[in-house]
Amino acid sequence: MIAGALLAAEEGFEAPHKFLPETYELLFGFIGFAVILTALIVFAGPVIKKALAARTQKIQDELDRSAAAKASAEAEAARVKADLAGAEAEAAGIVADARREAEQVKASQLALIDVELADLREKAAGELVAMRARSLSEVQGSIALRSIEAAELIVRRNLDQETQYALVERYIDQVGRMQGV
Amino acid sequence: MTTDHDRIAGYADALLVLARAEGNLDEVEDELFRFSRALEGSDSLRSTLTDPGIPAAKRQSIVEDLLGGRASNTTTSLISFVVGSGRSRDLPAIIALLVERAASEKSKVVAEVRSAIALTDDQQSRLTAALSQATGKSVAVKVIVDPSILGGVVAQVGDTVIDGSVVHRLAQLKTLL
Repeated sequence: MIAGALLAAEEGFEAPHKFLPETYELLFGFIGFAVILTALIVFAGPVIKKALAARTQKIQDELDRSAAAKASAEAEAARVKADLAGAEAEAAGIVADARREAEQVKASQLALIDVELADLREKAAGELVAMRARSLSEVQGSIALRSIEAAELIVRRNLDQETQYALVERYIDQVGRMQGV
Repeated sequence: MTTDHDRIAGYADALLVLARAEGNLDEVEDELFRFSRALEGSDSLRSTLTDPGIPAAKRQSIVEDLLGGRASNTTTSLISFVVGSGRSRDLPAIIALLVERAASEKSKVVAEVRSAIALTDDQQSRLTAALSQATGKSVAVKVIVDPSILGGVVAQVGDTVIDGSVVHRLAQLKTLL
């Protein structure tokens, strides 16, 4: 319209209204628009409506599937959560049992070790006593042997003729006092 | 069949008769007894006198050299006779039987006495009396000088031993300690 107004101004044509076109133009334009609109409503409307319905249905289906999946997932999550809770309880029970059993084993092992230690201590004490007695006996034996050797040496040195004679005399006296040998 | 025991008994009887015939039985008996103990105590003398590789004459010569001047002629001759007969190995048994029979003839039992020193006649006489009294038997004492007992006397009459030796006392002391 502006272009038309400008063109009319240049050509010296003067429009009836600055902004509004001619009435016939309005009429023809309106009729053309109505025809096209009708054609659109008649031919394209159902197609568009059907497409929109199909899309709506598709979206609704998607929404339904999603809702179902969500419900399923939530149910699964609940089940898993329940299972997990059960497993946790079971695990706690197993741990408690294991701990109790470990305590019992520990206590019995400690008792066993105590008994073994007492036994070992007793044996060690016995061996110590025996070893001490053996050592003492060996020392006494050694001392006795040395004493005998020393005594024999002293006796040999002191056994002069006079002593020998006295020993024989004493022997004769002792035998003379014996009866019924 | 003649057994070893019969043969030993035969030799013992023969030596006893010969010694008695010579008139010095007690002396010969003592000398034979001492020689017997010396033979038992000396491995070299025993092996020499029993060695079949050495001629009998040589063995008799050894005996005569060994006893010459230390024993009576009768004792030397009797031992030489047994050695010359090849019975050196049986000599201790022959002499033991001879001594036993000689004592038995006098109703006595033999008392083997070991002393570290030689006993005087008086001591032997008193010891004989003491042993007879102690055992209740009439004993004939045979003395052997044995320095290994160190001192004192050991007497054996049959199975009875009366040990008064120093070596025995030391052994007792050792046991006590």
